[in-house]
Amino acid sequence: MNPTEELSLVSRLGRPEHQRQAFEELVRRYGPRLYRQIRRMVYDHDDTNDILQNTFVKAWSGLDSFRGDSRVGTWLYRIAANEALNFLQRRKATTGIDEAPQAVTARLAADPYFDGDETELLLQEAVASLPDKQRMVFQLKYYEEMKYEEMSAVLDTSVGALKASYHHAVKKICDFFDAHD
Amino acid sequence: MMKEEDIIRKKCGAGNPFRVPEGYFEHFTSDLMARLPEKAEGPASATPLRRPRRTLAAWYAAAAVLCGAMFLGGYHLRHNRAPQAAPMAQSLSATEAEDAYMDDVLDYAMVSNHEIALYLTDAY
Repeated sequence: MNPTEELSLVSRLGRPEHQRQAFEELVRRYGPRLYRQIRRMVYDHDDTNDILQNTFVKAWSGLDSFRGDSRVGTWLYRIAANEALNFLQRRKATTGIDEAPQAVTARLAADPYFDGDETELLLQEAVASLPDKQRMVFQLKYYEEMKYEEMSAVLDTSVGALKASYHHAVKKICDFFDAHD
Repeated sequence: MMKEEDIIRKKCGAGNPFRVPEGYFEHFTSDLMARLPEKAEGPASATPLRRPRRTLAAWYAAAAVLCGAMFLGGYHLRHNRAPQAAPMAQSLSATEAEDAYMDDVLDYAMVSNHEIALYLTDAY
């Protein structure tokens, strides 16, 4: 979305008579991107669907608190990231254990909505072995090519810490591939 | 570090292997918009758990019940000391007087029977 479109959308979101229509546009524009971000964190389509819904419901109820200090996309990414990380924490608290990377691979191999080949499965296994927040840093940088400054606003972490986290993530994934070659 | 990232990109690319069911995003948007509540007009404010008007009504009800009980207690004390020439008739007129008094008290306090019932059953 270019700056003019963004400005127009934010302006309409602030006006009660246009708010609903503008929000629908927001959902259409950002839904697929946020879906990808969440799905790469939780893997399952149904869980992703629930988290995505919660993300937009929270955005709608918190719309009055959005002052336009950041880009609307950054604000949505931030809500989605919190929702996904909270979901993973809750699941961990319920089961008492982290899902093993091998279990993630087995689940993806059986998932009708996953199209990856053997190498892709191996990459997903390597990524699944990272801590949740580092995994999110990797996904946002590697797949979404998000700038560190924006990521800093999304994850409320300093740019330096994010760079270090990404560097470690890439190194771990390479080591994983070396061990499996 | 870039070299290591390039290795991963060469090996795996950066495509999206995750698919969604057919027509998912179209349905998602319409379903979500149908679910969203209407926004309340005016600035949002925290709604107190108990509305002040109801709390005030509860106090009126409590005061009315207390006044009634005090009046009835006093009335019975005074009435029991007096000689009872015609017990049945006097008893009836006393009951009527109590009812009338209670009605006046409750009318004055603008408390309905329903609110008193709610108060007595701790529904407030």
